[in-house]
Amino acid sequence: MEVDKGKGEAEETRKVAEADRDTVTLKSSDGKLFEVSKEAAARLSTVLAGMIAGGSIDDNGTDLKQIGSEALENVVDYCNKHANSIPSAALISSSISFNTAPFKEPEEWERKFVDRLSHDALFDLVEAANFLGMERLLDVTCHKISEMMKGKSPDQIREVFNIKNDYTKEELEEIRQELAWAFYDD
Amino acid sequence: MDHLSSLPVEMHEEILRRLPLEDAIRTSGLANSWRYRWARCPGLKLVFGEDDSTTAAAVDAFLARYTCNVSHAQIELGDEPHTIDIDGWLRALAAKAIRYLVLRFMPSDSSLLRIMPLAPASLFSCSQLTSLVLERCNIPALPPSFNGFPSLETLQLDVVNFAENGEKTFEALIAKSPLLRSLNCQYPSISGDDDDNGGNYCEWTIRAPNLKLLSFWAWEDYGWRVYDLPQIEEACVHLTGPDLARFLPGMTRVKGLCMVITVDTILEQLPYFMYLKDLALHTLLTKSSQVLSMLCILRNAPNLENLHIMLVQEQEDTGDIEVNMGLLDAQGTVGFFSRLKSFQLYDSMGHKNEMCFIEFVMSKATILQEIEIYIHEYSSKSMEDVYDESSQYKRASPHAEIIVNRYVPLFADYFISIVSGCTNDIFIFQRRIRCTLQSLMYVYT
Repeated sequence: MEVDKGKGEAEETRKVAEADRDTVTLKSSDGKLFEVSKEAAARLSTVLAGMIAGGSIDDNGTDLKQIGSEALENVVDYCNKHANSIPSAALISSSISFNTAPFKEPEEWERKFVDRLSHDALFDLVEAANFLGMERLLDVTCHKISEMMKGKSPDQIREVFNIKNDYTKEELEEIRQELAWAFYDD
Repeated sequence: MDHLSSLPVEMHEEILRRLPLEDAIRTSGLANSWRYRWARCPGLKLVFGEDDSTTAAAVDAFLARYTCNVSHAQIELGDEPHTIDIDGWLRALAAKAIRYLVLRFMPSDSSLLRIMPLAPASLFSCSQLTSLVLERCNIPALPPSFNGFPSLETLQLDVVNFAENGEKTFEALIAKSPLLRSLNCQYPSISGDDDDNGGNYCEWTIRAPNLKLLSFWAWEDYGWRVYDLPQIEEACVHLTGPDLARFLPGMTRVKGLCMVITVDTILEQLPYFMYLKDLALHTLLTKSSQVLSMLCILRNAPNLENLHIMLVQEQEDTGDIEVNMGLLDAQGTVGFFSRLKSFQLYDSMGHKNEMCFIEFVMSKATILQEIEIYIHEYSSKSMEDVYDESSQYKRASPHAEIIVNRYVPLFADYFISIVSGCTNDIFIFQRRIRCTLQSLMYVYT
């Protein structure tokens, strides 16, 4: 099977990576092949790290049946970008406030990376990151989704995410009473 | 299609954990499947007061309905702490096995800074705490029911006051935290029944058998001393009075030490610091008490590898000692700097006393690799002058390299000396030394 002609930077990094023979090939559910830096894949994904260490990587393309080609392309793109990026000081330095410690703020390029994604692509990427055990990518994507919910009323959130309101009138009234303060802007 | 609701539950939890508390609770209103999702989502943190996104009503609702334990809470109360049931919050958090607690009282109106609110006694029922930060409050007497903080490892007290019989409270608080490994006190105070007791505090003792990191900064001597700390590794102490001499004997096992030597410091009889490798001193070289105190500690640190001296420069010349090789050699030459690898002198004016001390170090340190001198921006001596002069000195270590740099202060008013009561430079110094010693002082893990 022909290697999929990835777009933009994924393509370029792939060429470089091929020359180094330091890559692994991943196959999406719809049979497309992607190459990714072995070092970045092992560092960013616990699942891929396990497969590389366990020798279950297929040179002709390791099957990832749960991940579609669009999501896998984003995963690979993210890994390759990550392989080339220098961590910022903000990431290295430890924070005094434990409040921020467990979640690292996304870097500028990571923000841009998820900002350009469509709604569908973002959610596919969350699931792919979850499946592959990619903690950092999960951080970035969940951060993006939480940003989309912050400061919004339930009505506004339902609209953004197309959530069906299945409450009865009575239930809704009960919730309003319970959390009166939360519905100020409804 | 509703992508959000169809994500796996653990993803919902990842998202909820990233939302401000109020937004997380508000997801109740989305749909049936979301109604109590937040209440069952482990790992939500209570953050109140950092920004305006969470109201007190939201915290009340959170504490009433949340079914999981709360491991982290950071509460900053502003101008009107009385309108908030902080006592009730802490009781609820104690019941939810709170482990990391930050409680700050931060009035936005600086005229209120003088009034320190009383921390609620329910604080002492948070028996699962591993990390506690208290800022700007009065610490009440320990309730009789207090069984200590058996798991507490990190305690940070910023500008707290211990009220009546505060010495006993302070002492018991530390003694009843047997696992304490990091203690950080910034300007604590103790006010007895009589505020005018002229500094007559009863002596009390810091006993912490597992303490590794100690940072202690105080303007006044409240009678504290340190009992032998068998595990101590790093310490940063800024004490302006005779209390320094009561701290040091308890810290003989320290590996990294950062301290201030002021005009009131008199160090004469010290034990040996056999483990001390990194020493940072903030002092000046023109007063006899300071010079002799400094030599006292240097003499008793035979394994010192890195020495940093940050000079305090005084505006008027009030020096009373001339440092010369005769004086320095009279200190006894055995053991001085025999393991020293690097010496850094910050904020040097290139004065005679400073140059003489540089000469002294170079003449004694047989394995010195590097000597770095940072020249103060107001120094009348050029970097070349200082370099040429120090290059003439006899070197006990032929390979010692001399580096002279221009010192760039972080603040324009850096010139103000620590002795005159400016706090800014203490923090600059502390920050630098923290980098130097790679102190773990503030890292919670």
